[in-house]
Amino acid sequence: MSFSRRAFLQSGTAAAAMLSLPAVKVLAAGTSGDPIVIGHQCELTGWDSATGFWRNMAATGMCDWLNQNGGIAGRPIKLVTVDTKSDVDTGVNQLRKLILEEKVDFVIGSEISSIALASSKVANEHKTLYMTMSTSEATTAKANAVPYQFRMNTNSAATAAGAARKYVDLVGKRWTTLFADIKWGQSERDWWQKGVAAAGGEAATAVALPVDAPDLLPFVAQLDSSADGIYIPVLNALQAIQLLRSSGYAQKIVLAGLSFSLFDYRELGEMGEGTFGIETAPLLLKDMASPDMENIYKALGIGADGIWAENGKVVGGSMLLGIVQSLGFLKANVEQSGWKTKDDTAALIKHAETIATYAKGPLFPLGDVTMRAQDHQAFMDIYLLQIQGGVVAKYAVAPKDSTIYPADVDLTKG
Amino acid sequence: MAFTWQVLAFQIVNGVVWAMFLGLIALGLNAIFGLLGLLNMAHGAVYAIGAVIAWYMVHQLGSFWMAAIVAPAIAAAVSIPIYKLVLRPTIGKDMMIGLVATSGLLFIINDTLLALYGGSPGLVQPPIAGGVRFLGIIYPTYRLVAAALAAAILIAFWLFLKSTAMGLWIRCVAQSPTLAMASGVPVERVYLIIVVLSAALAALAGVLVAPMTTVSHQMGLSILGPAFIVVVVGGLGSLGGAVAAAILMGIARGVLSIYLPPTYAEVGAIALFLPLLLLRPNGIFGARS
Repeated sequence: MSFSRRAFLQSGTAAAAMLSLPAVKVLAAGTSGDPIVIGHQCELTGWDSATGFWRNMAATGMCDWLNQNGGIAGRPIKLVTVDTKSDVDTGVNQLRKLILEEKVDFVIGSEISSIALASSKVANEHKTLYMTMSTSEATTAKANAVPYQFRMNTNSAATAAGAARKYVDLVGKRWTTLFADIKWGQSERDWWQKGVAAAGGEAATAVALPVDAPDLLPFVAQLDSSADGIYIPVLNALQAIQLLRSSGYAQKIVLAGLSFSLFDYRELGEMGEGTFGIETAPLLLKDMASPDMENIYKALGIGADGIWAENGKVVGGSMLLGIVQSLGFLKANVEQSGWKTKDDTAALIKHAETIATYAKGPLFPLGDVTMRAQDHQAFMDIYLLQIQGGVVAKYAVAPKDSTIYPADVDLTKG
Repeated sequence: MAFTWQVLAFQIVNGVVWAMFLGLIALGLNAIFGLLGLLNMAHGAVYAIGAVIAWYMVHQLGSFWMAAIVAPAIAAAVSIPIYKLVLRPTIGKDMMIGLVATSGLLFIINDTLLALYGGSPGLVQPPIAGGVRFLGIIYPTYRLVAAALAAAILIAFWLFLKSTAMGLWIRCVAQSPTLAMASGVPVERVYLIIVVLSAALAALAGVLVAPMTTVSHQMGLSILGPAFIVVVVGGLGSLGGAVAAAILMGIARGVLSIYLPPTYAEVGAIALFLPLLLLRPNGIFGARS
């Protein structure tokens, strides 16, 4: 009996293995050799699952797309995704699992700043390149800047540097802030206030919001009603906007970097009209004029209106771009540096520090991206979007040069 | 923000309004613990189900008030098999068994909501638009109406406990299930009715709160902690105590948030309860533990 059970299991395993082979071949047409294993530390569940959903969709879809188009250096890509549950301890444990058990070559990291802060150091210890998705500038500044970490999306300092001046000119000089009392919200508040001051504006009160507060009204009621504009880096921006409008605040509202990925803006209905957002990617294809982005939208099943056909929801465009550009960074540097195994990652990093610009192309679809070697931070155009006529449309662009702020470390000297 | 009597009065009024909903949620939690001896970790998830149903009803059928009937009805219907299959076998056992069983329910409900509703938060527009100009800002009219409705339900439940045969049975079982059974009280039926009522009230609270907050699959988690605190401080089995504790907590959170960073305000609001626990260990109104 025990023999036949074992035999059954063995033959079953063999059959499963055989069945899995063609699947790899189909996915990796035109590729050969051992796969390059990319780990993805993603928020599939928990409070940040709204953005994690789009990063997972983008990473899965883009890895499939890359495999169908020659992979990286002719090798197929294997994506291993783990769920952080939007929790620091789980996120770090899952990263260790990716590195130690799954033996990943590279990691696309978490979007949650506290997870990213802890994880980048773990990845650095294990000499595993960590492409952070966090947009808190603090996660790559000063002591948190580590050689094995790069960021191919924007951050709070860059968006404030680029956008604050535009909004001070367009909306008004006096600003009040409602911010989430977490690392990301604090970083957004600090850099926004600096940006407003540098643009000749005045940063009035900033009201902190507990991250899990079910009722925002006590905090909304504390905002300075004499301000010209309200800057909102909070997770539950939907409720904040609803309460601001229903409580008589008529000021212009600016959502902090990448907030349009946190929710489907159509939920706001008429009260969302006129709301601004700061993003790295517009939503509508017509606002991008990019055949490369059109290809990506087509490959992932996204309509020209930015709606994902599979679930009818508005895509988190900036989340998508962050994943695409991180994969673009890996592809460019693996192929150019001659990377073969994880032992070559240090050399890949040294090579990456010599690349100043990633030219517009299939994996940099919205324009050239500048890489600052000192702190491994990328700079790109920032899009100021606005809900106009019930649609999130491009309002203005802050060119990438206007988003560059001074670096406070120099990793090239390490 | 500078202190003014206006600001203080606003925080007090808003604290009282929210306390009505917290009281509604704590009511079921309190009843299940008092009667079945179960710390029902899934109670907040039922509240989330109510809010999600409200979202669907508004977006698919355009009717908010229909949700106030449908959501409690669905929660009540689903609670019957859950009681029979999950909760009933844990009654009389070690409290940890019930805790693990209801925690499992919590995860199942949360992840089912994530799978069906998604991770993106949603908005339910208030069915009553507009607001009343009050203490420097416009206070949403819906909040006042919904709080009045919640208060009416709390009073109705109190009357139900005091004036009906079933209410009498519930009070008997809360005091001594063995004696109640010996006296001919249908204890099993009382257990089932209290589970059904708790689920219906939690779902109704979710519907009423939906236009005041962001609807998300995890919204039940953030309400569970305050609801437990309110039950413990108010006194197990004490409806009035739970409401009083909810009012105190709502006001303390709001007022402290004016002067302290949010985390300290939360800690401060909870710390304020510590002397109460020392001075009134059996609840604010001295109910039996």
